[in-house]
Amino acid sequence: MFRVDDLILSLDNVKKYFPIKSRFLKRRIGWIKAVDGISFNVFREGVMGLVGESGCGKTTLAKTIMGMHQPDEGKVIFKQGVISKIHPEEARKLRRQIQYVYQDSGASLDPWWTIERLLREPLVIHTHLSDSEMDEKVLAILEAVGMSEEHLNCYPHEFSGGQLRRLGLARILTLNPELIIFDEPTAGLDVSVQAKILELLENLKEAFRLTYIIISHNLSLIRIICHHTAVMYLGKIVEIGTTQRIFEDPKHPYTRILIDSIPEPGRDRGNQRLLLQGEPPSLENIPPGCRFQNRCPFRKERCEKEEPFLKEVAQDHMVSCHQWIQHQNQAWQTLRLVR
Amino acid sequence: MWLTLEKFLKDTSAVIGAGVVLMLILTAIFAPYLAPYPEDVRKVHPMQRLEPPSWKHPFGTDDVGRDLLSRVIFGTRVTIIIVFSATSISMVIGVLMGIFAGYYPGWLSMAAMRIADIFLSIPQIILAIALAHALGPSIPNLILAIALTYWPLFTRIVYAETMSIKGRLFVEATLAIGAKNFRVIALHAFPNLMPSIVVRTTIGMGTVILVAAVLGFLGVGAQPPTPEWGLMVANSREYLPDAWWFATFPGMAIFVVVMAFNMFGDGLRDIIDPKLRRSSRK
Amino acid sequence: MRILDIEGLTVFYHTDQGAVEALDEVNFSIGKGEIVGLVGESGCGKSTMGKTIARVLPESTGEIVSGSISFQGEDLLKLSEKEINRRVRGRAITIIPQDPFVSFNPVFTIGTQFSDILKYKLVAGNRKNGGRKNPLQKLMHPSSKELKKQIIQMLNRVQIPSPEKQMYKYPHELSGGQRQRVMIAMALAPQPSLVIADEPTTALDVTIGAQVLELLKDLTKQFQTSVLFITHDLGVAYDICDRITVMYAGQIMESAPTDSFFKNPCHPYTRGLLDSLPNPQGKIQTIQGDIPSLINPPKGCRFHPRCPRRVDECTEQRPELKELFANHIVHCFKPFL
Repeated sequence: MFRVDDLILSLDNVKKYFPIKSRFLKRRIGWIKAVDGISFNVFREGVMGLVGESGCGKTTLAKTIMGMHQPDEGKVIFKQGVISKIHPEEARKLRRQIQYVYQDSGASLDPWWTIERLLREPLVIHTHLSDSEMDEKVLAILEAVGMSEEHLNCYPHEFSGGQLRRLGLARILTLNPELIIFDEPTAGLDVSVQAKILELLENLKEAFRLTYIIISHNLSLIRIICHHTAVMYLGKIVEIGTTQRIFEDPKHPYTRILIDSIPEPGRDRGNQRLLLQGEPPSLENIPPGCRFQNRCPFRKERCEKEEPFLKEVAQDHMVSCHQWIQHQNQAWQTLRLVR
Repeated sequence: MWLTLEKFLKDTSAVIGAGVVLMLILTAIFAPYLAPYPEDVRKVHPMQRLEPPSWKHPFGTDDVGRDLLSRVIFGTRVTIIIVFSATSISMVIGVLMGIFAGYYPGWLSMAAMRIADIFLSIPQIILAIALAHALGPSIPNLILAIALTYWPLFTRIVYAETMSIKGRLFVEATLAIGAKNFRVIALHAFPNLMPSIVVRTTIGMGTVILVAAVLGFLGVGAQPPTPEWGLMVANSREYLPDAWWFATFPGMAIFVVVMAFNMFGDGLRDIIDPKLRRSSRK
Repeated sequence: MRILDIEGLTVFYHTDQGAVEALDEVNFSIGKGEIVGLVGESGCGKSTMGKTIARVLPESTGEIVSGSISFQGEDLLKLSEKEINRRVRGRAITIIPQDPFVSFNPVFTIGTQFSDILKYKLVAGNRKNGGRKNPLQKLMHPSSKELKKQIIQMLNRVQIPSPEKQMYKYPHELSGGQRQRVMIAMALAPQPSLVIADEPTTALDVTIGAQVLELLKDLTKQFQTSVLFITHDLGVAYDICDRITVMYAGQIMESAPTDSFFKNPCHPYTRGLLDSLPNPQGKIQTIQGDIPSLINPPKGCRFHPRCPRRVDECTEQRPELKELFANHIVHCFKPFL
């Protein structure tokens, strides 16, 4: 479906570590390995989903792609050019093409500025358009996100959560970016508003021929809108592939349990769900071997010593796990009864 | 805008404070027309010395026969000049230092803050006295001395606020769309700092007046025959308690104005809230 | 057997722009040992309900206009603040709030905060006649060793590992999931009749939230504690609740046992809500229109401006109660059947 030369973004073993400094002398006594060797490809006009819970590194990864962090290792390639270690001034210009939508759109808008000024700002920074040209553009974008001219004079605190998301989006769209990274686009929104935002995202993608990376822990959302999905855990990708494959035949235990955890009305309630026990180890103290070992029902000796790598297990489907072969349906059923 | 005004008007003390401040400014501007004996700023009338309050001289006369009411009125001019100049200078120095220290952390910023700390460790009045004495008694030097002791207060507040604003999401978001640092500081951080700065300034003005009066009282500030209130109170000491009016009226002027600035500043602080800004339509 | 019976409850919030009619003649009840879900979108009044029952409405703006809340034979709204504080709140009725982080005092260890509850709420309550029977009644003047033992026991119940060590930790040293568990322990310590859980898993990750939910379900079933589970997440409600009540703009729309609720939604709003849930097969469906302002809410059924099945009566009167199947009630003139 997607051809290789349609690649718009490519990550090659990107790593981002944060130093842990001792209290007094500020010596580095360890690393927080927020992003530890991530590689994937994103195709033009595709939608890539990044799934994971807090602490898995998805936000750090997004910011690294954006250029707000510099990777310690690895490369980020955008439209065939390496963008990971470039001069900050170059990186700033690049922001026209790769944009990031914050989870809390309300807080991302300066409370002292009117919407009109806020929407114009990207244009003022990057372009030399005349006043009237900017006005036109701002109006066009405003309408594209489903808001209207009368909102231009208002201040951010006068809007509801759903409207703020749209405004945050509008601000970014004024620059005609090609790639947009969304950080939890529907978190905190009511169900009906979520549906509307999703609709909006789909329409905008069509209209402006955008490519999306969507970060979310809301698996139902990812399932609807993403073509590809990558599941992250503690700084690594544990499973990646087309959304369909991942949801229909998840191979990694974490993915499996995540999908099981989605409360789904209508599912047979008598069937006990498999629950994840325990909590992820802290990022400062990652144990040797597989990062998932302390919560994994299939842990074996090898998992405690050797770290697994992503292996292709089917077309467009890679998993990082030593024991994936054993994850046949039978094994899961047995586990369900024993909980 | 109007909602802000509405809320302000509900706060009685703030309104009173604002009113008095306004009166102060107007009195200063129209002093020559308001004072019954404008020439008494300079001219002395030894025959009339130390006369108690009467219809002719509502505040009485001072030790060299000058009408006290006129001198107090002209004193507003001195006060205004001192207050606004000293505050402006210290504001400019303090705010600039605070913003850069807060936005660009590093050893330079730490150094700046330590300098501010050094200034702050000495009680303001003592420092001001020392400076004024060293520079020589005159009004410009007085202004300079006060400004040099007051700027660290601005810096501290602005530093803390700048750091907190810098950490807020909209700053990050603005950088994310490609704004340069200067733009962020000037157009985004600064307006958000304004509330604190304004409040600090207004409340500070009250303190400045007091310090100026003290310095005048001690003789290291305004010099005779300048009609400065502190100076007047100083001169009145030897004539107490008989010529009570000589100390009382200038002293009350100081009191009233300082209170007014404080109440006004408090009121301002309460209404400074971006959420009160409303669009013109509803 | 009902432990909580609310009738005709109307609550307003007074603001600069006018009176927000947050709850409109609400009738609601909870049975013993029942986990009842109160579901709805923002502004529907579910949090207000919880706050009214616990009498923690903001004093300056909240006003209980009318109605009665009957709990264990007394009308809570008729009791004085002092009575409520002494006998009911934190004892017979406890709250599990949404954000476990801000609900703890950051400068005390969780052990200290826990023992505060045990000391004052349990012992003080037992000194007067309002206290309930519970095994800790004998602790009139608990020694710190006794207290410590109790705390460890309760932390064990909520599956906090090594409680002897954890009780000396500060709230920020625990993870979100652990904090919420401690909250649950603290809420269940006085062995209340009713626990009001206000979006307890919203601030948590999916997998951790699932664990917390199971824990809550297990513990409350064990002690036959009733739970008022407030949430906007239908999926979560499906998992834990015995019965689900849907609210919209301050009015109750529908209330039914969970299975019946999802199999046969009768109210047009419920249907719209369930349809807009993301599902893998179909397209995303939305409910047209927006939630109305509660300052001058629509007359009659407040959903009528957006309802595809609206008739004239809907705009004039509140639809009365219809019981369609066993325990499945709906406030609608034209429900689906």
